[in-house]
Amino acid sequence: MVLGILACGVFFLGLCKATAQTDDDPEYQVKLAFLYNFAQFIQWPAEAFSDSSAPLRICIAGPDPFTGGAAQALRGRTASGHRIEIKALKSKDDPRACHMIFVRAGEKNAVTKILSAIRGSNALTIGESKGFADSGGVINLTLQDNKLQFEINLDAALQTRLKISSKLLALAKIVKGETP
Amino acid sequence: MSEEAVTPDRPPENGSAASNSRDRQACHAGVPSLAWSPIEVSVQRVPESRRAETAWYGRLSIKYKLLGITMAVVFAALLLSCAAFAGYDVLVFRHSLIRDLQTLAELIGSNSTAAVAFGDKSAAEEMLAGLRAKPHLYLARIYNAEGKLFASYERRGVPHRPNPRLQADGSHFESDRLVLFQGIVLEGRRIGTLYLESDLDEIRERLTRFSGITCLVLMAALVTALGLISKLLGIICTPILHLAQIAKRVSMDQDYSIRAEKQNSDELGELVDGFNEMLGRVQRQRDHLEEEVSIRTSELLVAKENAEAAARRLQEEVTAKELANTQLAEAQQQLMDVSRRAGMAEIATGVLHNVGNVLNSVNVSATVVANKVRDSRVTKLSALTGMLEEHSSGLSDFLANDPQGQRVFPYLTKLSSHLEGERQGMLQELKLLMEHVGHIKQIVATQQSYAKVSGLVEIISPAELVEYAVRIVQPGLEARKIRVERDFDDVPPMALDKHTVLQILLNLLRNAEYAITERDSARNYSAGRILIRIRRSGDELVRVSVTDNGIGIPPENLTKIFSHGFTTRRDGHGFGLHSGANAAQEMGGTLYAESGGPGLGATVTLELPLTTAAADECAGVRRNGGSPQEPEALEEHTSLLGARTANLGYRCETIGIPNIIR
Repeated sequence: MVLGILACGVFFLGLCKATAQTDDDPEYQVKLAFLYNFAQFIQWPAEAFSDSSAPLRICIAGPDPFTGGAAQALRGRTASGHRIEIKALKSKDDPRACHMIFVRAGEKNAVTKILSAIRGSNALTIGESKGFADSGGVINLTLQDNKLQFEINLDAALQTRLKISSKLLALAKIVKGETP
Repeated sequence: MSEEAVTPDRPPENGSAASNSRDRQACHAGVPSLAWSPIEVSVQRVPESRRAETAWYGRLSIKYKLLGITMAVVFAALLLSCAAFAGYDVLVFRHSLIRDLQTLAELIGSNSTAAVAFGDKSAAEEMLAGLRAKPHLYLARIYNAEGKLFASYERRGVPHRPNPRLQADGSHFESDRLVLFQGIVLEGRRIGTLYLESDLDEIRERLTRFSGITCLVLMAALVTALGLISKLLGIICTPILHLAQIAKRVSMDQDYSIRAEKQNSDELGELVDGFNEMLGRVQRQRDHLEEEVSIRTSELLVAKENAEAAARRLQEEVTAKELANTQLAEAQQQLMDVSRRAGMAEIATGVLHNVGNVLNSVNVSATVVANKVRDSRVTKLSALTGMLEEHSSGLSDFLANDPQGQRVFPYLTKLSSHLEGERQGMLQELKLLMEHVGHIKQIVATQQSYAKVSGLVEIISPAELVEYAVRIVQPGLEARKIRVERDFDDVPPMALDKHTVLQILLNLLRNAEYAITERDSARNYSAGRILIRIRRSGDELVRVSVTDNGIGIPPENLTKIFSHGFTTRRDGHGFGLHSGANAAQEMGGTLYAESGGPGLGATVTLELPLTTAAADECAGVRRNGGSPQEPEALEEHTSLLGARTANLGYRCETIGIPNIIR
């Protein structure tokens, strides 16, 4: 709860208000905002989108934490001109079609699978479990001193053709780990 | 910048001495090379009163003025441009300050997007702390989208400021600071606001620095300009000063041969040319003038010498004239003597001639008488007497009987008649001889009367004397039908040298007659008129004037007619009026002529002193030297000896002539 208030204090007005009307876990509301922010500080190569109006797809591997309506706040938001689209990654879905894959903490088994599945693609993998970045994920959300932070595995990032803003890197904790 | 030190209220005592030295260096301010040149500015000495009226700048040298003007212009221009630059610079600098701040804000805003977006306050503040490098930026704050303070930076030492009220994006200057609001935008969404606050010390510093630099530049520029202008003014000033110096030298030395040196061929060169030409003209004129003056001087000298010589000559002439006057007087005296002698000689000649003529007759008569005496039959009578004495005894016989005797009586009768005839002839001849001798006596007597005119004084009435003279000339006047009018005052008889006066009167009358005759010889002289006046003037003078209506006398001749030898007559001697005047003078009177001019007649007046003193003297010696002579007889004499020798009336003789005839 503390985190939620903090997040509302930190996060910009619109998102906070939108999330304030949801029943979702405040932690995930903040994480959603982080996801959205990541999308704004990371540039995908042009071929990652079929056309300019193609949505930026955020896939959630594992249970969807934004069912309470938090995702509604992102409706209409864009990143790099692309509409944000959040959807759950089903096992039958091709993870390569996703631009961002949020891997829930419980999906340890799926991690390697997903990571190997998207190898060579431009999908950004974001985890929330300890060691996610070390194990090949690009960004890992961590909670320190009741404050949400993130790690970036630069080597993993370099494997993709994503351009991560230095501003984002300036805020992140850079970790080294095995590449996917 | 000495001209800026010159103030209008410069003390007047600086005037004469200080101004001189100042003027001397006037054109060389800042030009040391020229300061030693001998060129001096001509300083017109102005009286103190006028000097006081002259504006202070009026006393400055032209170089100072030019320098002052140029420096003032340069200074003003520099100052103006510096001020303009400063103003512009401030403006630009403010703009650049704003721009810099905006750039900074952009940078911070852009860099802080991630921090703001992820709510990373420490990262944001860490970023803001980087503003320490900007010393003038002392306050930076980041507000989140809700307008709440997210991150803040305050420079140390700056008092805390309350949170400013959020304003629209933009920047503005407040009294002592520049504030800026700028949104932090991410993906088109405003996620926060950046607030920056900067002090204006930079502008102040810049202004101060700029002012200092401006001052330095201004000083340097002015010094440079002063040096340059001082150097360059020489181009203008040197010829002018040269010209002024030449003009001063010319006016001081009066030397017009000096020429100004032409240094340029600009207007100043033309001025120099004009000045030189003017000098040349003045010099030529002066030379000409000097020449003329010298000519005039020499002429004057000559004239002076001439004048002196003339004066000397005049002196000499005066002396000579005095001498001549003396000589003239002597000569006149001599002339008078000579003329008198000449007259006497003439008279003597005439007398001798006439006497000679008569003597011929006398001789003839004497010869005739002598021949008659010599051839006289008286001798026959003596022979007869002798014969009779022979026959004295028988005289009767003889007479009666003797044949010879018988012839005696008839012979005697014949002889006596013959002798009677002889006697008659001789008597006749003797009578003739006597007449001749009497003639001679008359001639001699007449000559005597002329020679002894002086001193023959009688008491006689002037009117009587006039009448006498008129009577003498009457026949001639009547022949010419000249009327004689008389206008006599009652003048008593007076002592007069009758002969001389008469002679003068006759002269006057004859002159009058001549003048009338000359007036128009072809005309009838009926219009001729002679007016004789006798006027008594007080108790002293008697004037006898003869006025005619003849040809008159030209004014220039009025006095000449009294000179010896002057005559207008063809047969004149020029002696009449001259001797008349002399004679009148001798009598203590004068003879003078008046005339209106040619054709207007003339009046000749004899002025005599009215005196009776001489009469007594005369009375004592008076004797019956001669009988009253008739005018006829006088006429005869005058015809013989000329008018001058007329001898009239009773005579008062001192010396008598022996009676030849009587």
